[in-house]
Amino acid sequence: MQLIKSIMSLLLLVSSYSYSYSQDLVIVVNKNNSINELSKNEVIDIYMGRYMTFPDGKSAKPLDLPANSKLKSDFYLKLVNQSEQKINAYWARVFFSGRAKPPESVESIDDALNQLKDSEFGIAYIPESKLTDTVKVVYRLNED
Amino acid sequence: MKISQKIYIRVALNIAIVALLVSIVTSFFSYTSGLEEKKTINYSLVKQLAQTMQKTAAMSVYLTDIDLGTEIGNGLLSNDLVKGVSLSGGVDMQLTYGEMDNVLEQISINLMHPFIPDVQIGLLTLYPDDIYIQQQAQGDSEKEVLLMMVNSIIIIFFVSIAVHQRLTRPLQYLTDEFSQIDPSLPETMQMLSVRSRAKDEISRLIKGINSLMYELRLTMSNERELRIKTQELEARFRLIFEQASAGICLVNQQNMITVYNPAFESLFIKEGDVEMVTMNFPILLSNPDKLQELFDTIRNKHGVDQLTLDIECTVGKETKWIHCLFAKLTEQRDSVRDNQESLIEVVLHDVTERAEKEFQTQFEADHDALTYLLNRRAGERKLNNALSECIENEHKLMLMMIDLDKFKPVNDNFGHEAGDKVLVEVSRRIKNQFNLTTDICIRWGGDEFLIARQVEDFDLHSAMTQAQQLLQDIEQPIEVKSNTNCDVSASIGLVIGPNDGQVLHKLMMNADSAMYQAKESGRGQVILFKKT
Repeated sequence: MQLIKSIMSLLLLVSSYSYSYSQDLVIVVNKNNSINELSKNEVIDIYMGRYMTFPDGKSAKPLDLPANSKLKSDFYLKLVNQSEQKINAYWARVFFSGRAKPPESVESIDDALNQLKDSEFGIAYIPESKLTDTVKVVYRLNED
Repeated sequence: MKISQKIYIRVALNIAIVALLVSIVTSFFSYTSGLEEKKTINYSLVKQLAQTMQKTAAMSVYLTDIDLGTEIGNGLLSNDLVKGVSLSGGVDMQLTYGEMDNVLEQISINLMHPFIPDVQIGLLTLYPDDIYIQQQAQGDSEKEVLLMMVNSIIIIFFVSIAVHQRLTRPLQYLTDEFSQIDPSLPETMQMLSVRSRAKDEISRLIKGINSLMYELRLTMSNERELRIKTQELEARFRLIFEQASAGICLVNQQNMITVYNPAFESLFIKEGDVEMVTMNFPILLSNPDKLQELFDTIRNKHGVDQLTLDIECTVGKETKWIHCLFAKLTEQRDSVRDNQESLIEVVLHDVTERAEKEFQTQFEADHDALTYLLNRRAGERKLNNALSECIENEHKLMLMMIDLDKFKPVNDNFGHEAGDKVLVEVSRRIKNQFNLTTDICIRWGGDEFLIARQVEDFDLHSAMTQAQQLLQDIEQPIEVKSNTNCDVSASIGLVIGPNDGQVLHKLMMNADSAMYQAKESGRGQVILFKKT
């Protein structure tokens, strides 16, 4: 019994861990933004500096979570299947011509939410659990 | 242009020509293949260049970053191999740098979306600089050709040196040595020295020449010795031939004289002439029939190898007696050469003097020294012969025995000289009348004469007439001294042989008796012997 209990607790622990780290990342914008939904390509184009606007032509200001954070690396892995280092290298190359700029870094998820609350141009990625009513989800990064 | 005849230069020249041709052909192929190869290499280099820039170019296209695109384009263009670059991605991104006219080949690389796999977002096209590549290939080929040429020249140089050292120089040496040899002078046929350690063809050639020369020298010196001996012999024989006092000549099958010596010539050259009148031997010796017969005999008759003959012949005005010795030449060579005509050697001696002396002696022996009529001994011999001939031929021999009348008084009255003169004159008159070659006139002794004449048919009348005629002749006066004549007469006994005697002795006896009869009948008459 003791053994079953310990195995169960272990399984629980593992599942709870996996849950806390495999939760979906969602792309969010200001609630008042006219954009309701974005495709994955549109998200990539905004985040990788191809376009500096939303598909409707309004400026877009992508926000990035702190460097070397678990969320940031998860985001880029799921979006373009590249590590954070590779993304940094990409930006280092692009930065040289000065045409495109990397997304602005924020200090935390809350900081990102605060900025989104004030700006209609902002766009950020947050775990689904941190969703507030000041933002709306335009794209959902699934596991698959 | 005169090309040197020296072997090493010609060999070098030949090699040079071949090397040049080979170089040209090789260069041509190496140029074409090199050009291909170079092109392939350069194209792959261009492709690699393009690949190097692939990611960045993709990014520039993705971001529609003209600046980055320009950077990339110029960067690629700065490469010698690239003539033109075009970067295209969507409507906003159509960049071209450099030239791309007249470029046949192009290398294109698909530019993929940097973040979304399998999505093409643009095309990077590079235009390789064909002229540059070609120039490079050409330059390489030229270098190669140059190297090959230099190589060839070095090889030619050393080959010609090697040929000169190994072939020409030994050959030159051989030629020089050889030029000192005069085949006509065996002393100069020295052995050529051989470089002892070399075993090459030239050394073998020299050895071969040496052994050949050794044999040749041996043969030649033998030959020379033999020749000298032959010459000596020949000179000796020639001396004998030319200095011989006897005339010597060779007569061929046609009786022509083929060879003769000076003595022979001197025998037959007329005084004042330069050469002999004919080379035909029988004609030259003015006795064609007899000599032809003799030649036939000596040539055809088996066992007759030598013949001698005394020939009287006329050279100019001279009459010569020549003793000839004919000998058939049986050279050993004749047996080998069957068809060689047989020659006859003739040795001639001028025996005129001797013959004349002999004639003189003979004449003196046969004739009376005073009257030059036949003497009794010779006369008797001739009479015997004549009688035999007449009997044989059924001829008659008219024989007259003559005795001078009243001869003794002449001797007594006028002396012996006058008597001799009478005898000489009578003899002359006898000879004058009986002058045929077959007539025989003999001084039988003292004042007794005998005359014999051969006649085919005996005619008494004719015989008597001849005898009477002779008598009349004798009775003509004879001048014994100046202004002194004397008359002699003769008694003649006439006989006819063989009617009046089968043998001479008998005939003579009958003639004698007829003559006595004439004397007894009163002298100065002719009495014909009559058998009783």
